[in-house]
Amino acid sequence: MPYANQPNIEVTELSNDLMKFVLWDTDLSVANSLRRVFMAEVPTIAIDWVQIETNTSVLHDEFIAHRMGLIPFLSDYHVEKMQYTRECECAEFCDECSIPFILQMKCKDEATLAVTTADLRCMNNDTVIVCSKKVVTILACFQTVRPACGKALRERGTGREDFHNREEILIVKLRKGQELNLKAYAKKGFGKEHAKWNPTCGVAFEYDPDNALRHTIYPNVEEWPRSDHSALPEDSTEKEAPFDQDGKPNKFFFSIEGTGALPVQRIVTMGIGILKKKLEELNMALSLELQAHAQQQ
Amino acid sequence: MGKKSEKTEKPVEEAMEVEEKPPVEPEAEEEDLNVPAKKKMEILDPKSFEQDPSNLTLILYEEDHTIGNSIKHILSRMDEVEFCGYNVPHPLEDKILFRVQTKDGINALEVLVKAFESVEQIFSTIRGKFEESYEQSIS
Repeated sequence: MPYANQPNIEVTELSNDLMKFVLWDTDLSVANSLRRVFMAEVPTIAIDWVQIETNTSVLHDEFIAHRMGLIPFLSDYHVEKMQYTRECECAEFCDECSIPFILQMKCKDEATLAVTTADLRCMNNDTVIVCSKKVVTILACFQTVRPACGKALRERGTGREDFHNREEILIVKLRKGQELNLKAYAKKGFGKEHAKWNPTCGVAFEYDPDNALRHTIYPNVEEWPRSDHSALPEDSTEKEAPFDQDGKPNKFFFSIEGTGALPVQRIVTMGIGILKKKLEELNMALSLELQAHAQQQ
Repeated sequence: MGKKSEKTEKPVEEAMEVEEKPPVEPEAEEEDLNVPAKKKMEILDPKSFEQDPSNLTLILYEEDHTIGNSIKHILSRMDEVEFCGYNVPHPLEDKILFRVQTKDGINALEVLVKAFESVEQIFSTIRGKFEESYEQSIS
């Protein structure tokens, strides 16, 4: 392409929920589009509708509904098959656009009862798979929409050590006699609408680590910490590179941390896919305008 | 005074009678209005664009800096383009205005089509290279 140089990308670090990569030979605007799309437009699944039947816990209904919404759900298998509710043909809830959950807990003991994501039961038929064969259960856990914490994450990351100490997420604690009884629907959405659908919990984006372009002014140069990507020599006393007047940002250091809702590499591929789809749609609409314009002349 | 009020009352009654018929029509109109609302884009002031196709302001619905800034970057590097820029009129309105001024005799819409294709190309390259690099890093 005449106006686009060939960008390059290299993955430098990869773990279950953190990925670092470097992007170079492209413009700041392109790199920033990527950052924006990862955070705001990659869809996940989260609870969006809660009906509370009984709640005698210490937290009020809205508080609990809000906490339910913020629970991350394993979305990688389901999210692309699901419909957005606003695009779905159904009137209220259907299998295409929503996943029902129920939570029924009552504390009958003297001890405090912790209600966690483990007590949340999915009401979808195809997710209730009882099978003794290990392979099928592993498959089932991939296919089930479950909170992205505790057991579910441990099962997803079979063979990966760092999932073993993940705990279930606490929703509320109940004392003797207290009860929580609710129904909830999880829906597909994206971060632009509500932050609970954001698949990332941190996107670090860095360029010009030595501040050669002076896009920022260090108030106290001596106190500025050295960047991991700094090109200055280790023993250098200088904290900044000399001012580069004609320089342009060219190399971008990304570090993406996922919430567990989606594996990090999926966030990246889905993000780029969404951008491409947007551009395709815009191009289609633009060709239509062009046709309409040609006819009028 | 009494005569005047009589006179004014009559047309009002007529208007009321007339209004009884259309209730069906406004509904149909509303539905028609809903379709363009879902439209992805619209030319601002199409008449002036017809007169001078090098001057274009396009409204892009449901878009923001994500698309706007990268398109602006590509357009500003094109030889045919005299001026380009985009504007987010209000943070609560989900739309952007995109202004393109091309050189004489060049249709701004056509230039914009090229820009969209370029940006798409860039993201395709990034995706390809990312997948390559990702495969390498897990093996």
